[in-house]
Amino acid sequence: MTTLVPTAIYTSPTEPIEVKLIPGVGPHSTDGKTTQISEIVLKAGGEDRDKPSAAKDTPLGNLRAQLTTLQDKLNEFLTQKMLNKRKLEDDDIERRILDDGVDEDSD
Amino acid sequence: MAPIDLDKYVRPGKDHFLALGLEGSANKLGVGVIKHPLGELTPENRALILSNVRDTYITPPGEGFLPRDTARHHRNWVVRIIKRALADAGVAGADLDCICFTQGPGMGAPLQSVVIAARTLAQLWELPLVGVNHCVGHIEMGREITGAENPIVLYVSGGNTQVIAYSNQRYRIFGETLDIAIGNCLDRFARTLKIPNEPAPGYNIEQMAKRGKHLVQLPYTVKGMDLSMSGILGYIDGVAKEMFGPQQKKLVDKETGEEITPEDLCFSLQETLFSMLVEITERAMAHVESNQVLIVGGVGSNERLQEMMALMVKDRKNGSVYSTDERFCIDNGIMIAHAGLLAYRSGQTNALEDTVCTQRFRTDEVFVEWRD
Amino acid sequence: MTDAILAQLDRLVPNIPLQVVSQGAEALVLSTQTHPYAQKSGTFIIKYRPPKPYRHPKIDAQITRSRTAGEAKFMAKLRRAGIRAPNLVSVDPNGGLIWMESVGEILPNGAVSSLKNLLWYLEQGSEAAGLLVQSQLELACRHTGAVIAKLHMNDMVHGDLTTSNMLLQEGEAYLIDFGLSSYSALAEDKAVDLYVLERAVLSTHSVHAEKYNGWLLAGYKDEQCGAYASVGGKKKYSETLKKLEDVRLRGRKRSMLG
Repeated sequence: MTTLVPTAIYTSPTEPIEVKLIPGVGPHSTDGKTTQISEIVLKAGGEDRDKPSAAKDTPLGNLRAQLTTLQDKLNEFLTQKMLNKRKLEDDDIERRILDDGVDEDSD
Repeated sequence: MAPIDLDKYVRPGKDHFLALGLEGSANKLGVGVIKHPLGELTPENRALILSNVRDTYITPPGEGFLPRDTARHHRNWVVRIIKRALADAGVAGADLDCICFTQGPGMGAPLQSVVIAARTLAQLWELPLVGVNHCVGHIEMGREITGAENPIVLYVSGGNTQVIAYSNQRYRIFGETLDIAIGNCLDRFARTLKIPNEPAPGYNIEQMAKRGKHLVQLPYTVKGMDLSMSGILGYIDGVAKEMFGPQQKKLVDKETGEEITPEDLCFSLQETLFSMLVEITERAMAHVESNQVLIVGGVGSNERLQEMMALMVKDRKNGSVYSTDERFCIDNGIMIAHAGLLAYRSGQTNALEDTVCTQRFRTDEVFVEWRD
Repeated sequence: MTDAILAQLDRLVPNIPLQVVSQGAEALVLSTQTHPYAQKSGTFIIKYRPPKPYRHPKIDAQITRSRTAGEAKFMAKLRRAGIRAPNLVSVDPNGGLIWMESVGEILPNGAVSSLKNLLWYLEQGSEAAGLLVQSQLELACRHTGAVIAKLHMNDMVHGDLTTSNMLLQEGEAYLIDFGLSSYSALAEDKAVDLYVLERAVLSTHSVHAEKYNGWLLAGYKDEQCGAYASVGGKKKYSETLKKLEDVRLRGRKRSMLG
């Protein structure tokens, strides 16, 4: 039986290093961390009727489960990147205010 | 321009075309299978709807649908809905001529979740893909169902409000909203009043409006053939919040002294917005000297809008109104299959790398090769 | 149909021979030889806004009153500003009735000389007649552009510029239909006015739209930067045109969700 393993590669013109993501060792399931329904909907009394079905123990079923794990990793990776970028921008504002902030004494 | 040969691409030995259509630009996931006999479509040689299956993502009262939850809904249902549509039609993947999908306009994440299904099937069954403009899908389906030949089209839905007429191979936009769409305006007011989203917020407003009696005067904002609705929504939202918020302010009808109810507000909002819609439609009709109106899009199933349009048309020479029921005017897969198949028969297909969806895709960007 | 509307009109202006000129979206236009209050001869136009049965009576009464009164006031102001438009004779806001002097001509094909009809008529003959017709088309567009320029220089905005809302008489362009008109000094509002016209030309005269829109704008520019140069016309022109770019971009970018 062939095993299908999904992979994802992140490249960017501004970053020299290519990042490769793999599902890694399991266990894998279709019940992903980052692919759940929004909190807002549940809080407002909504129910989740859109849950993915559990993966079967077949090559395609295993692919679905691994893909969900990979999606989680991808989402976490991209979220972290966004947070880092925001932090850099915040630091930059702080630095500008502290270091270049000559406004108060300028006159 | 001579009509083009619509049978050039028929498969050897076949006397018809079959297309699968996938729609998911907003909160409805729709899949349909359509059959076109050979030759030009006429009242005697009509398209055949083999299946039309839909599942709607519904949120709790007071909440709109978020793109990522809507996309998740489509992802988790698309395989089942496609299987059901094929089974209903009694058609196998190998029988199809092409796979049609909504390429835009719409919400990004839901569009993308559905196009992935389309691409997968196209590669699995080795079939060409056809990207369809959602608005053109509505127009072509409306024309096919009603038999309206060359109408002014009023396209009213959750995300669109346009007055359209065909000329020179394009559906041209004569008038449109300058801010929010009519369906969006009604949905948002439904959220303010905490009206359920089941089966649809607009439907529930319509039912309440039927029980309304007193008209609350609202702003009326028509600009030529365009209109603006955000100011009206802001105004009536304000009135509703005064009435049902902490202030509990009582409003009374000046003539009868009776208290204004939520039903009266729904009634007033509909009467005002629909008057504006009918007015710009009539203006477009006068401008291009047409006497047919076709109403498409989800809001088009509103009976009061249809009634007002019929009253307007009665005052015009040989005027007629065409509209479809909710199977066709609410977003569905069959209209994507139908418009996509018309494009396919004119030789329009999308290479895999040209199947990227776009949130903004104007009606007049489509080259309508299949019409004279 | 029109008969019912004519019966309503007969109650407002009894016993006057009337001829239907056209039925627009919101009004019926008729012509008569009778002046409402003076012993004057000539042809007069009656513009009648009948009640719209599809509208709630309250909405209907309010729209009819405000548009009729607004249009009459606007016409009076146009006359004072010297902008070509029909002269106002009398007005009945609640009845939705305006009397005015007649403008426009009848084209050889029997149609009224609106810019739309004139362009359509000239287009038909243009292949045979060639250059002569080209220059007639261009002049008609330029004169229309010029009268819009004048309107905008007076901080007035038409609100519904289409090629049906301009009439040509002896080569000069006249504006009509001011039911949606307003007063504004904002470049934005004037730009929207021009944008509405541009789109109307595109949808009604799609084959030659680019050419017509070019001439219309050229006429507009020449008037503001020529006749009005001494009163800041050039500055106003460039402000309006800059806004027009923005409005066009907004139009194309407008979010259209399914």
